[in-house]
Amino acid sequence: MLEAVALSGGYGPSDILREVAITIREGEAVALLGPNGAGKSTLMAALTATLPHRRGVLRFGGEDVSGVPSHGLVAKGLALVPEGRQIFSPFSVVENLRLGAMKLGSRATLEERFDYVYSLFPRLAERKSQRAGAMSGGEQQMLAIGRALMSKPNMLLLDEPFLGIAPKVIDEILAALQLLRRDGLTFLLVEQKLPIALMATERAYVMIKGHIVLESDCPSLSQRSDIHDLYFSLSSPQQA
Amino acid sequence: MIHTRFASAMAIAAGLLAGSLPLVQTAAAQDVIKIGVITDRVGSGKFYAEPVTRGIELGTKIINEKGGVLGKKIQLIIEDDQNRPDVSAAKARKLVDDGVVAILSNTGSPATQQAQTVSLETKTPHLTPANSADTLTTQLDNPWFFQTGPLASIQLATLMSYTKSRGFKKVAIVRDNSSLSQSFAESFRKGLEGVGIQVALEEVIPQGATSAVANLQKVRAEKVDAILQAGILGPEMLQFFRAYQQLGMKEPILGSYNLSIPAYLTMAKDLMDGVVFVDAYDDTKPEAKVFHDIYLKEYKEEPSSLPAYGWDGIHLIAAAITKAGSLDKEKIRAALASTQNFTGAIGAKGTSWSFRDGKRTGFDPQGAVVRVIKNNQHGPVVHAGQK
Amino acid sequence: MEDFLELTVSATASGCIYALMALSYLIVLRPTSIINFAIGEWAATGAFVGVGVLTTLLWPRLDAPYPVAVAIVLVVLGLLGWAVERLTVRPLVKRGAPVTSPILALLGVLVIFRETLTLLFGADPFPSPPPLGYRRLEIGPFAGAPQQFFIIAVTLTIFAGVWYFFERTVWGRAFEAVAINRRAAALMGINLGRVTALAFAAGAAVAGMAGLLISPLTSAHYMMGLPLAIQGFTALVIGGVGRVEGALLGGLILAFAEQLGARYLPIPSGLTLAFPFSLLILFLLLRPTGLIAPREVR
Repeated sequence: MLEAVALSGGYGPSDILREVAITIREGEAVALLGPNGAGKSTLMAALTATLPHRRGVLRFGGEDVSGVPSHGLVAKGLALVPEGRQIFSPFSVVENLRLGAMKLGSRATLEERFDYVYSLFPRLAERKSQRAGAMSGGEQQMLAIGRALMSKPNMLLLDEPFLGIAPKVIDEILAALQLLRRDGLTFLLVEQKLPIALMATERAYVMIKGHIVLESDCPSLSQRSDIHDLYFSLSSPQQA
Repeated sequence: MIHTRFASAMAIAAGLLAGSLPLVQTAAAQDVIKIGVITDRVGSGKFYAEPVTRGIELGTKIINEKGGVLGKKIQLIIEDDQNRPDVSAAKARKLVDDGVVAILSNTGSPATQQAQTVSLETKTPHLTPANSADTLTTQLDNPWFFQTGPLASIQLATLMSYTKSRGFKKVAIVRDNSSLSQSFAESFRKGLEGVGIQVALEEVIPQGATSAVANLQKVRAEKVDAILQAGILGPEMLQFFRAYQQLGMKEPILGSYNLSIPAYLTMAKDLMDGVVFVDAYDDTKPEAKVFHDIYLKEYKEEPSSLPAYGWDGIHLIAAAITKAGSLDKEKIRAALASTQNFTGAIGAKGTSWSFRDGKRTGFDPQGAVVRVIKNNQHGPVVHAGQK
Repeated sequence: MEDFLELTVSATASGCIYALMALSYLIVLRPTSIINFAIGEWAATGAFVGVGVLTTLLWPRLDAPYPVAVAIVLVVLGLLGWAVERLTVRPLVKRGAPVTSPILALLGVLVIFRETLTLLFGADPFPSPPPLGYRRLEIGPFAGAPQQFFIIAVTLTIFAGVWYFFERTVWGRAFEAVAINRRAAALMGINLGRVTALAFAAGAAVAGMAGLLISPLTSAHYMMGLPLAIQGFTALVIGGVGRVEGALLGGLILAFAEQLGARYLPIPSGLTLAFPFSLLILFLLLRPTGLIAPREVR
């Protein structure tokens, strides 16, 4: 479904991403692992056309979307839950969700999407009119995911959704992700912590200093008990 | 053979013809009198200068129709100085190079001042028919330069004598915050205090104001006998009249030539009736009537007073050349300087232009008038001179 | 007391004009962070278009009633705003230029517009006919010119409409979203380019209306733009850049300060001009976000 070929670029004249190539097939759940500063969020920006300088080829749903702007990608079915949630704090839950559905056509679809998101995250239904900025971190994360889902995406990118969230809420979100998988959603999950990533996905890429250095299925990765050792060994000179 | 001879004959004929052309030209050149005009067609002085220039053109046409001067036609050479002093001097020089025997300056006083340096150096008779700055003949000792425009000092004195004659005891001055308006207001104040009238209040309408209601409420509260308007900015002038009407005020409004701008009659239509201003034109004067009728016939519209200055200016020059009996610039200068009692379209009834006592300002001290605006037109004279 | 009531009408009307200018800044500023100082010239353009449509002074009259003139001003200014955004702002934004670049470019646009107006119409002020005529009108205890009451009514309508748009419609919320978090808004599928273009078009239309509304009182004049731009900016600073209501409040406070000061302050008339500018400096020093707090911005 999603294919990146030789993706390079950054926020300024110097490149953060170097020749990144990833492929995600329809229905897959893939993780993107790597230490802080590896360029994972930068890659998310590149995939959603919010990175100022980007070279390389991006294909989505079989189409070349290298020149398509962010709002166009959403229209084609690609949505991002950004790092740090980035919800619209002064707006209510309903207003936030409504804005996620900007590309939707008919009224019927809108109602249906609201029902779907509320069924996935009942807590949001309880807090419909509440100001988003007043909610807890976990609830805001649910809102961010729900908002991304409002556009009925075929593929979801999630950038570190579990950062700073209480374990109980993490479980709720993971459960929701499972449901989404069952409904056929493809997703790419950026995550620092290996155990959580392994619970949610079946395959993983590891990124270090802007390069993809490893691709593996999750069962094999789960043999490694200490992710830090892994990162360390991967970033040693012979791998660079 | 025949072709060669024929060709040579043609060549000789062509040569003779070409050789004789300069002769033809010189003969033609000797049949006109070149007079230079400096005007502003595009710049800030456009709406003062162009009407005056039109008056010169009209006067020239009439003079030429009557046989011209010394049997020759007047040819006007008109240059545009964009009302810029440096350009004005350059254009004056160009005119002299083109062979003019006299220059008429119609643009702003600073531009005329700068052009004077050229008339002094090239010893060319130089006249400003409309400039009113008092210092034009005093700042530079230039015996070639003459000013027949209505001096600001004369206009102010005329206004003051009218104000006094109305019996006003206490007045307000309203101005805008431009420096020109400020100096107008200062001269008003001095003049008023000089004739024993109290200035109770001076209100300033700043440029960019959206309402003059507050200013005029203060004036109204002061209960003055009259308002002296010293403004020069159009939009702020309009605010003044709007607020005056809105507040239902009735105090008489007086101004100097700052209120004589014809454009204000359109801008402040129906708001200026009864306002008095200073001018130098009385349309009941016979010479003014003659000018008026010819202008109306030619241009199919009513003239303001501005073209009359130009009309008089070119007639004055023509008269001086006739008196001099030659195109010699010194003779023309002398003839100009000895002008006495030149009665033109400009000036109150019974007044005339004269360069008395060696002075080079010719406007009659009694020549300014106070006129009233009536039916959105510059109306009749209500006061003349400065007695 | 009569003075005060008359002054209230006059100050409210002037305040409405300042408020419209502040609104024009705000509509563009919120989603783009660009301060468009050229809006003064757009107001002047609106005034001249009004004169052109309603009189024969500029070109043969179209014999159009007032509402048509309003519609023409809105359309012409909307197109101009859109064109300016496309030609001067968008190329800079595309190249990733810092926000100061479009601001400077728009100063250039200011000069171009003013010189064009000067070339086309010259230095004379042109009268603009007020749609309700001119006289002293008394409504209850208040007295003023019909045009002043008209300005107040139209401004309140515009503000109500804009407030409704931003607070109650999805597209208005989308604008707000862009103002709150540009990148997140793009990720929602909101077309940033279209939002920017619409903001400029709407800002221009509002400024054009301000010019059309004030010109019966002040004339259409090539120099009228700069004072309006400054007054609008001052109103914006006082009222706060965050909310539409702030623009209205700021405009009213500025106008009342100006006119009540001119009437009642016991200082020479020439100095009353300093009063609103002192207010501006005071606000910039003490409360730069203005009176009405903005929504939190991420």
